[in-house]
Amino acid sequence: MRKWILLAGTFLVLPVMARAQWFIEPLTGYQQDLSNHGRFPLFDLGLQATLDRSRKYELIIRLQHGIGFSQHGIDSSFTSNPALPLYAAAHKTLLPSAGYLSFDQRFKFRTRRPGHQFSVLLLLGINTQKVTVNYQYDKANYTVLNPDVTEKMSRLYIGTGVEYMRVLKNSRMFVQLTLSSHPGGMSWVPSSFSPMAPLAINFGYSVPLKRKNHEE
Amino acid sequence: MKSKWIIMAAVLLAGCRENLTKYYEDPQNQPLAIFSNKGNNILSCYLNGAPWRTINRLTGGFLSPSVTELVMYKQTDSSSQTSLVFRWNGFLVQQPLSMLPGTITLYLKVPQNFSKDDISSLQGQRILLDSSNYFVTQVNGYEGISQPGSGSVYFNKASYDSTAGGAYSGELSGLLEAAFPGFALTNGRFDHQLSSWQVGF
Repeated sequence: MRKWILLAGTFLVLPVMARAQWFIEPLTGYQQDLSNHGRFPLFDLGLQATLDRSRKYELIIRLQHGIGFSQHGIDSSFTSNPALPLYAAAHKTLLPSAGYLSFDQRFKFRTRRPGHQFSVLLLLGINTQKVTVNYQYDKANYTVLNPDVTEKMSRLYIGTGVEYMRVLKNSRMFVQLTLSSHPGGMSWVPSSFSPMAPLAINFGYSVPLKRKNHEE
Repeated sequence: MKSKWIIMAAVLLAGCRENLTKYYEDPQNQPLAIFSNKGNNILSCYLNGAPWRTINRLTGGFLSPSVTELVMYKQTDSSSQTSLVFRWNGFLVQQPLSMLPGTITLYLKVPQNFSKDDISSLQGQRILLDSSNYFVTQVNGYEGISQPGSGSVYFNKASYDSTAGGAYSGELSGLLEAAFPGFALTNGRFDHQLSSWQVGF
């Protein structure tokens, strides 16, 4: 599946590379997971290459990593040994993370005010999610009931969003609000959490790599 | 040509059996299943360190009967002592299923008038193995009877409703440990949905 996406992406990009204006856009921001009631916030770091081919449309290749914050919880563990208390708390730590390789599309609206640009974003790519689970409890004598286990999956995802861009003299700055689906396909094993569907707000800076001929 | 299609249809019909067992590996104790109480229809444990698990529960097909991993029944011995018997059918994970099927059986002393609806009284109980409560294993290379007082069973969930009309009338989940002459049953965990045809009393 990944090979086909990379192949399709290459064919999509190559024809426009020769004539396009290139931008490199580092971005950072914050995402909140909607499918787990905000349980897994992530700090976003990313880099995208934008191919500006027309006044209305840009193609974006985005590589992004979401760094999670540890979440703590308590599960129940039990023992059949009558010499020990029946129940003991099992302290649980969940550490989420996410990665994106995405081929996004930026559809730009006409604006009356020069220097201000509003766009709609369509996102499509591969989303890798991982939630690492660690337990602290008496593992020799107790067993956790319905434990969470470390989950990892890489699947296709889609998303959409809106963006405001301020066009400066030699660069651009933008803020975007996006909503993405959780990775498609099969869900993972029953857990206290499900695959993440993030609502993200990201800020970025856009630097042109080469100038168009008529602007030189 | 026609017979070819008839044979194919028969094979397909016979093969349409649903697997009602859900196996999720416990990363702390591989390859045992996790300890759950959601009706995954599986028991797994170590027999002297060798992983053992129950067979998959399968619905009946066109030519195949349904298969279950657990049956429960009552048994009265010569001294008029009544036992509630849990018999799990399974196999050693690292050896071929067809070669080494086996059973682990738990006998719990109960009153003579113990009924299906009394299964719920086991919920939350930890029962010590003694002269009347014991395990018997019939697994190739691991035959044995547990020593009195050398094991225990904990029932996290135990319920049965004999008036329920659906396919499932109850739940049974818990933990078990036992020492047999020469070997040990450790890290046992079980989780089953109970239907009327599994409970034979």
